[in-house]
Amino acid sequence: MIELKNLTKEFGDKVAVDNMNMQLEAGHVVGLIGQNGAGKTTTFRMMLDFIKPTHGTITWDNHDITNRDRQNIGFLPEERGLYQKLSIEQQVVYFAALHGMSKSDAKQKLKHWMTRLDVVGKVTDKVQSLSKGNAQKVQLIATVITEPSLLILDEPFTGLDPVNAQLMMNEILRLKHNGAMIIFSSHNMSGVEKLSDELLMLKHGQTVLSGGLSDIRESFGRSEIYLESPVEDAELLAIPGVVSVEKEGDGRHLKLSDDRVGKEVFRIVARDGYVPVFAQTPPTLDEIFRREVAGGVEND
Amino acid sequence: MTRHQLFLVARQTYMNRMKTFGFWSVVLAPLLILLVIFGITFAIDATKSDEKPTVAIVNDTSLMTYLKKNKSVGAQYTNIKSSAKAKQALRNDKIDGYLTSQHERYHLTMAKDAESLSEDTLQTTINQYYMVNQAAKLHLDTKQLQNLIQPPSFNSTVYSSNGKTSAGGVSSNAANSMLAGGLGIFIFIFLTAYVGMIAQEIANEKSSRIMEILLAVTSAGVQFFGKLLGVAGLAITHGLVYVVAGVIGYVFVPDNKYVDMAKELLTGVDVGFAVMTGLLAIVGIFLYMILTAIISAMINDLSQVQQAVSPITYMAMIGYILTFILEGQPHNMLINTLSYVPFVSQTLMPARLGLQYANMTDAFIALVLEVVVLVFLARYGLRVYKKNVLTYSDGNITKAALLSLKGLFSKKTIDE
Repeated sequence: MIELKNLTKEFGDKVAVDNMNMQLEAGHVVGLIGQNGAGKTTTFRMMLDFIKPTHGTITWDNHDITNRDRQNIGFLPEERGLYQKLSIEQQVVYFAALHGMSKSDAKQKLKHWMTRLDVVGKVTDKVQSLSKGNAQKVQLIATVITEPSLLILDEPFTGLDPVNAQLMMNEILRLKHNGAMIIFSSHNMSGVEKLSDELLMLKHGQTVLSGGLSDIRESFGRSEIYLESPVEDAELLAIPGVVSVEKEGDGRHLKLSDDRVGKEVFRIVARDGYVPVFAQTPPTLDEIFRREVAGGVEND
Repeated sequence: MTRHQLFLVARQTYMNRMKTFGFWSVVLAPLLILLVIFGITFAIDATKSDEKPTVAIVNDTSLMTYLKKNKSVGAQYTNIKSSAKAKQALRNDKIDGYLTSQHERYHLTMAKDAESLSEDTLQTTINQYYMVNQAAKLHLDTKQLQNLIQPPSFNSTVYSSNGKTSAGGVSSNAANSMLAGGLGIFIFIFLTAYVGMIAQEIANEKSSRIMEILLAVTSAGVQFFGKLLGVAGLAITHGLVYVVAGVIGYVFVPDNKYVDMAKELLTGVDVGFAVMTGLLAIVGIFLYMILTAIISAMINDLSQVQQAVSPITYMAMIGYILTFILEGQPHNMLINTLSYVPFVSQTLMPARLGLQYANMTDAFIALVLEVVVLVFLARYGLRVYKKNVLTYSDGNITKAALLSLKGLFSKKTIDE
């Protein structure tokens, strides 16, 4: 288990991470969300020992992270990097060797991964000759080929096309099921919702929300309704507690000031005894993010 | 730092460069240049004309007889009665030149397109002829003449401050100073090649963000020393290639005059001098490599490599240039002081040693100072490297360097 206890990082007067606490257990995925400069990358850098915390501790199974532990870390940086003049095989074998994997094992597994991720080309192809999509796959292979116990992924979906994003998501889930501890940061809220067991939402270094995804959402109450009904907007807005009505696809999206208002809305839309779609839900992660972190502004 | 990872990083650096055209072009270019020079010289020697020039001796049969007996000039001689006839023969291309003698004054006239003739050798031969004639006039016998022209014996030894005398003399001094000069060029070529290589290696990994992946699994120490070991391995390979090439040249071209010249030069070199010079050079090269690794960590992208490397190259030139103005200035305080200073001593001290301006104790002090600075630079340089290698500044290397210098002795700032 990885444990971050009272973790703080100060750069001069600026507090980049403020008293963060987090536990990451085997087979769990923690999503770190926040705007640029919220402290996500700084947290990763402390976990990777690139920088020392000003206060607090990071432990792996109750001891400091050792060099041997570091060989069990797979890290995917936000800005991807590969040796352009090396072949796929030379590249992956070198990274795997640094993680303690033998050359023959790495070569054998690489073939399997090339097929599995459908990388176009041969293992002897130089990275500079690969398409961006294939280079991204090679980067993923280099990160996970050693089946690391701890996976740190900084914005893993950035720059990926939908197919590669799905591949990435599948691999994260597979590693999770194999017992890996995974922490990742992302601006892609749907990805975060699909993958994370727990969330840490950061704002200017401070943890504004943390916990299980459904618990966080439920804590905001079921203040959203999606419905498909012939009832007019004006009639819906006239219900006390309905804050807004917006068109969404074939139906409409209502925001409530109090989740108890939902019963009144349902009574009105179902007065004829039938309503095709009525769903009262907590706010989406995207909505929570906008409310809590971005101050209502759409995040990039 | 794990030893296995250190080995992996060093091997990766070494093997990747070994497979490049760039590395082998740096190694083989000097050998190819030597080979081309050798080939051209050989071709010129092989195709030169063997014809001897024909020189007419105007109305001096005695001189002609002497010159014919003495074959050192390498010409054919013929007797002509007068200068006018000699001129006529020269105009008609019958002869290549003519030599007149009048009242002990000799004058040689040669055609412009004549086969070449050594005027110095001719003059020496005429001097001998003149001396023999004068001896005859003075009624000196052969022994008396030999006594007259025999030069006195002169030898020299060098007395150093520790009271020991060493093999002095022109040949030993010349051999040592030539070796020092040659090493100066050699060290400078090495420095420029490997300083650039280290900078490229580190800047490439930093700018492409591969460094983050590498440091996640290893440590700054593994990367710093691994890279240095890898490039040092390349430099050693480079040196060994030249040693092997030298041995092959020595064994397979034994009768060549250039090999003979090199052999003659090398036999004049003191073993102690050679060992000390080699040590100063090796430690000096390692010093520059470490300095380059530290500065390269401040580079943000590959376009800044030249900016980072240039000051280091200029610094390497200081010692090299000073060796040229060293001769004739054994007591110049500035030069003497600089010859102990690391980063300059690797070329300047061997040059002073070669010219017998310094002794082995001086060289040993310079070596110790180099080693001390090497250890200091490796230890504190690692901290600077660690601080900078994952920091991307606004592009100003000088600013990054000054900040690093400020933080060099402060443990607190190093991790920020």
